[in-house]
Amino acid sequence: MKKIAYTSSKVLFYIYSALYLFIMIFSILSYFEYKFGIQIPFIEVIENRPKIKVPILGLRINIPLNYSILIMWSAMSYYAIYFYSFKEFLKVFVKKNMFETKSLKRLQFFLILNVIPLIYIIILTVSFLISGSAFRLEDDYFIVLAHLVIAFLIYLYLDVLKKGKHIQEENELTI
Amino acid sequence: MPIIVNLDRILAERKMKSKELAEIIGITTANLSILKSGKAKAVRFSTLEAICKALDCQPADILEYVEG
Repeated sequence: MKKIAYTSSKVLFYIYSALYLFIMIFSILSYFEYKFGIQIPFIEVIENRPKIKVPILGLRINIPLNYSILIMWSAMSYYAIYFYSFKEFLKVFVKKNMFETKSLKRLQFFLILNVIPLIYIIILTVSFLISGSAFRLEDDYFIVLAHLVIAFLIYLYLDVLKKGKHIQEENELTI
Repeated sequence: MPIIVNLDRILAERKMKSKELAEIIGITTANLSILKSGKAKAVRFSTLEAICKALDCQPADILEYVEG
């Protein structure tokens, strides 16, 4: 079961990485099609708005050619790191000896990654307050809440691992 | 730690090398070194028995309590 979960996370990471690279490359190329009219496959410009057609998955992704693209790229980069870290997190449970400093570091990194969206949501809420617009409970809030729940569970795992590491060290020092 | 391991002294008295003792009692020299340096958290009775047998001594000759 653990191996299936780890293998699935690996597959998920590689699929996402391929999609990430594809979107990154073609979002840059879409600028050239938009600006110079160069015909580039998988890109179409409709009403001055470039779109990327993702093969196999059949997705059509709107590419904003303003500062929003930075938010899109940073979100995509975050999830590329997130899925990699998720894969590494599951690897801890597959390993024969899981009570290692390396495993603890992996879990700590994954914990931090799950807390990072909190910063984003704070900025989002502050921007609502500064702009004076009516507060809207967007999907982003639920995604962040899910990340925080995951962070809490990882925190508990981390505690178990720390205690396990301590017991193992004591056991290793029993001659 | 207030428990002192006097293995070095007993080994010197018996003119035995650490490597020899490790081989006789069936532990690695690294573990014997941990035991000698006082870094060990616990000693198994089986290990203590093997050491006493190999060095022909009592547990009290090896372990000493020093108030500190």
